Amino acid sequence: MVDSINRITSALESAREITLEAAAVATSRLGESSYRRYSKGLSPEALHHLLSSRNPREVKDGMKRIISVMASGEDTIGLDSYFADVVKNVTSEDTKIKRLVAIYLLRFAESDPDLALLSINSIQKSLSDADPQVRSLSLKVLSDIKIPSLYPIVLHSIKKSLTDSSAVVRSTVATALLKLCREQGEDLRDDALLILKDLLADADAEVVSSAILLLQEVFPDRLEILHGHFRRYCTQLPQFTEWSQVSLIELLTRYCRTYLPKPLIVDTSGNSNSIPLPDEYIAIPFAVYEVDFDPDLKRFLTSLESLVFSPNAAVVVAISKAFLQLSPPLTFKNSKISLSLVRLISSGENSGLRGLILQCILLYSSMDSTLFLPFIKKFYLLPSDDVVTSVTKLKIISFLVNITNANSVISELQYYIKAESDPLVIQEALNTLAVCAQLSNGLCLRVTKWLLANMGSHTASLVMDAYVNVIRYLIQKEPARHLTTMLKLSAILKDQPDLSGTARSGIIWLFGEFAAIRFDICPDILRVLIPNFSRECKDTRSQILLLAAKLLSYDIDKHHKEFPEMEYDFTNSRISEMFQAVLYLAKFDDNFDIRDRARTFSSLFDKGKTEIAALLLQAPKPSPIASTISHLVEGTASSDLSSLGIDSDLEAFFYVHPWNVDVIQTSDSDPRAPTPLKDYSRLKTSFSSKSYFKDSFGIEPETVSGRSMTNTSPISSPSPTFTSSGGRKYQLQSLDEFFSDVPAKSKMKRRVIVEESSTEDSASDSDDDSSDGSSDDSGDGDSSYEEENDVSNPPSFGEDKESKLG
Amino acid sequence: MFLSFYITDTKHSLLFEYLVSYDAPSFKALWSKIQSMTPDLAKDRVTCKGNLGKNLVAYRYYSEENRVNYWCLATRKSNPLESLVFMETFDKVLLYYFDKEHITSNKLINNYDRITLLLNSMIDANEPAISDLNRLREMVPVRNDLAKVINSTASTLGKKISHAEANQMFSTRTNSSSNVKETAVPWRSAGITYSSNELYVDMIEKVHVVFQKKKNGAQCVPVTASIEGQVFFKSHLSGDPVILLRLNLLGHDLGCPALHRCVDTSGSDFYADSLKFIPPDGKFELMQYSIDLDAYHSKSKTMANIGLVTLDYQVGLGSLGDEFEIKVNIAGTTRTSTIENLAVGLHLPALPDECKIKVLRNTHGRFQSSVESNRGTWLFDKEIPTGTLPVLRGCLEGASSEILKSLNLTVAYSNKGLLPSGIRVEGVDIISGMPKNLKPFKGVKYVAKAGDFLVR
Repeated sequence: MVDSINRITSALESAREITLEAAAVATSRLGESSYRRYSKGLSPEALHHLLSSRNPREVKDGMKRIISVMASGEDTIGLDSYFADVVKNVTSEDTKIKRLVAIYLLRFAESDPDLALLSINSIQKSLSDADPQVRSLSLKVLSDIKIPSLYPIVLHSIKKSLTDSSAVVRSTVATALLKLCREQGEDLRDDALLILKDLLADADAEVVSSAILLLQEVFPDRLEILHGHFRRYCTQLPQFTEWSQVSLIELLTRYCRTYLPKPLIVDTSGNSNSIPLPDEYIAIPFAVYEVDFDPDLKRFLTSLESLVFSPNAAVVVAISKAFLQLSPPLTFKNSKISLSLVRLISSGENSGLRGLILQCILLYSSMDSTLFLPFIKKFYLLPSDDVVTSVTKLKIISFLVNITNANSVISELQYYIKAESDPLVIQEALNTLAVCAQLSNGLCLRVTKWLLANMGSHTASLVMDAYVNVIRYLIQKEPARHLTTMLKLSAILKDQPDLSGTARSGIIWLFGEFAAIRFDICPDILRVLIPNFSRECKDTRSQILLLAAKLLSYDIDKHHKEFPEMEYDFTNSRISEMFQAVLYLAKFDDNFDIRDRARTFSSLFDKGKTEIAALLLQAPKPSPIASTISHLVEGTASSDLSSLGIDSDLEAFFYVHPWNVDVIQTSDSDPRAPTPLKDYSRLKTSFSSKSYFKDSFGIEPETVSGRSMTNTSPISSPSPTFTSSGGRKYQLQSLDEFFSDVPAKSKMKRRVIVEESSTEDSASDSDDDSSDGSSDDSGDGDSSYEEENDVSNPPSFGEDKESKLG
Repeated sequence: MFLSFYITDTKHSLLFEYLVSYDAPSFKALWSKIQSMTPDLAKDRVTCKGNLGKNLVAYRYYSEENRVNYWCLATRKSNPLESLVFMETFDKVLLYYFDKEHITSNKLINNYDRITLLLNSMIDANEPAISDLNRLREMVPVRNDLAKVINSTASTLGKKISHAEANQMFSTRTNSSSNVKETAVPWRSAGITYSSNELYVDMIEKVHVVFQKKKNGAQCVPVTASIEGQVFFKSHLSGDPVILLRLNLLGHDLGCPALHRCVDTSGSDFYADSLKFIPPDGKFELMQYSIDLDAYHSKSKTMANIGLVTLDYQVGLGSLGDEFEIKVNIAGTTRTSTIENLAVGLHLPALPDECKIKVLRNTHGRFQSSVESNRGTWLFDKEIPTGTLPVLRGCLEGASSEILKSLNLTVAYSNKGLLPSGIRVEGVDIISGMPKNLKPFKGVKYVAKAGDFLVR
């Protein structure tokens, strides 16, 4: 704080010397707003003047003004015209000015390539600055300028900075390369892959973080280069930046499904059967089981479990997806991941984010309802929930409800149906209620009774439709049991003439459908309705007409069945008479739609086209309730995510890559043997408290173990010579000498690395060859695992699933 | 990959824009495109993303605290949450960077250069890069504004000035030397020195509870209840201290808390009641947890953890049965003497025109009717002493007692000094990493708030 006071006083002092205008600038530092007002009043000439000034403070003011104009979206001031004035400041000593110029260049370099190229020389110079931040910034700026003629220079700088002693610079190398690859694409792939391999082998977590991003963006299919790093990345996972964790989990999940064998599910209920993890998530036939993981897969899952404390929602969702795709439900349950997801939805402030997480939970619940069963009350609606959240929550409840919690869920749902105001929420609550009713006969009766009692209380047609649909759905499931319900409905029609039109028409429609099941009670309903036809509202009249037509159609069919040889007697049939009466009434209707319909039906029956009438009127109706429920009830495979109403991006995110079943598992060569690390930390003087720190505080045990692992492992035989030679050189130098020839030093280093990576390549090549050979062998049944896989996975299993899908 | 960022106010007028590449659209262009292609995104606050093309998506993140919308235009990502989480991070970075409770639009406009620099550092190669606040502060140094200097008292100011003359190293770290020094952990800047070492722990808990009034009118029973808690840590400490924060959890299960990356979770016996960490410099969110009160099977245990305020009401009183009585029970405690900003909201279903809520008598506060006849708020003074029992009696004129039965009450309040769950900080120990002679000042604050508090 005194710092700022000092700054104020020094600013005031210097103000004496310079012009009055500059004094205004200095004093304006007292408040941000007054400064803004001052800078707004700057004329273009004054801005040119400021930018060309020798005083870094004036230049800073000028740059601030430029950036403010950019950020405010004003398009009245042509910023292009300041290009030359701005760009020449790239040589400034002040890092802030440098950064501001960099932002300007990022945006405007393409508009004036020739002028931008003028600045390249000085940017390149600063690539060998003593300050790693400056070096990193220069590389960033250089790679940000998207001018094709510049790309070779950028590539050269990237290669030069690859062996920089600072991790910050090396991680910038990865992002710079990513930018270059995006611009240049194919031409660069071979070069980029070599550099990427070096970056991935870096000992520093920050460098690897950026390299992973590069891998995911540019070489998403080159998973084989992760072989040598798999184990290290698993242990180092918590140290990477949160954004690269998201990418790395994604990559390693795919890696596991490509190169690692499926986990074995072992039956622990007595007979020791075991099968590989089935493709269907809940298709495990054992009641109690244990999971036998490949050691590398186990390593990955364990490291994921240590990440569940991450505050980043994207990471948590990525972890949950990895568990879903790599392990059976048991492992998912034992990890704390469901707790983490529930914490995210109960504490997240943002509804958009919460909505997406809820959709993930919905997806998991649809696959295995037991995963989130203990948290069902967390999905009860709260007053602050918006419509989308509420609907998703209700869908989740519809998966989680079971016979033990049904009672409390039903009363909760009934409250929502009564108290909520949004028809969409009520509709979903009604659908969920229908699912609850499926659980037992007692519940079904309770729900239908409640539905009938509360039917009249809503006026919105959407809600009424939902009511009718739910009742119809329940009746359709077991028509015989619901005769009393239908009778009650008829009583409602008779006794409650003030019921809303939508409700009445819904009930009448229901009787039309019910006629297919129990014809005998329906004509009487029609008889009661006809006298009041003209007093009904439009929807109801239309439905009465439809009911009459349906009844006639059914009656004709019935007649044909009983007496196939006899013609239907239109004149003597009571039902036909009633139909005629309705037609007559409809002929004088106000509404042209009803008149039209009446004409259609009469012409159908008059001309004896009863088959067409039957097609029209007796068409089987699709299940009325949102498909989530039908799918739940009928137990179809949950592969059809679209029925859940999940966001399309999320759906793509959960796309499952098939597990590669021909995993080559040779015992003699381990593909995941760790490759040697490139530890550049020896290049720099380490005065830090790092060693002290490790002793006192075990926050980075992973690093320690990671390094020791490579040192002790017998495979990394090239690495000791590499490090020891480097180490010896370093010891011979004094500190000053070291600093004086950093570039020369790094050159030396680089030569060593190239050699080493070439041997590494040849080694991995030979690895590949040998593994190819062994894959040929395994075709003969060399691998015992393959055999077991075939035996325990009977062909009928796959067929079974297909038929289910169909 | 991100193409551009925008910040707008609630009325969608532009406050800030950052275009990552030359051809990114200005907000005006984007807005008209959003309006034509995904009207949902333009209209309501709920929708968070809209497709603008085969591979182009516009995301919106609404920040409740700052009352601004963050927008970004990005190509489709493999992880659909990433863009939203990034904007959430950006929102938090702004809050912590400027060290404010809220960011006003004025603050945004006055600091265009800083925000642009921040975003420029957070994005590299159109992908999220650095989000550690300490690293960002190193790249974009904070300028302490005058308000802070004035706010600190005159005496400390005088003391500090004399200190400053003695040695230039004061309060803010010395930037020039930090480059040479090595950071011990990636999230903490190197070589931090303070003349007065302080650390603060702020614990905030929010209660979400829904009560159901039993049909016979006897009691309110909790339907669902949970506590959402946050632990903020503010450190102004020299060196690289290792801190052990011990919490007395009173047997609560914190589930799976979200922890700042600085917390050491290794070790098999790790549990949230003792957190060991090297703090980043400045303020940060150490932990976020939620306590599931439904997991307690006894009602009394749940009721014991929902905070100081409970509510009961009765309907069907009076000769006509159209009167109701609301009792607020503010429990007495020694930890705090007052609760703040208590307000009870009354909600009824849509009423006939002639109906009106009328207050007969109230012991505390005043009743404020809303424009809609079926709503009203019982407002209290800013501070209400604990251990009181305010009562409000009112009637619903011209309505049947049936309507009154669906009366809903919401409660909002906050209090200091005591958390609903009763969790307390047992101690903050500095295990190592600080000079022995330094005795930092330690402060702990507890704040309780009512979140979704509903009695129905």
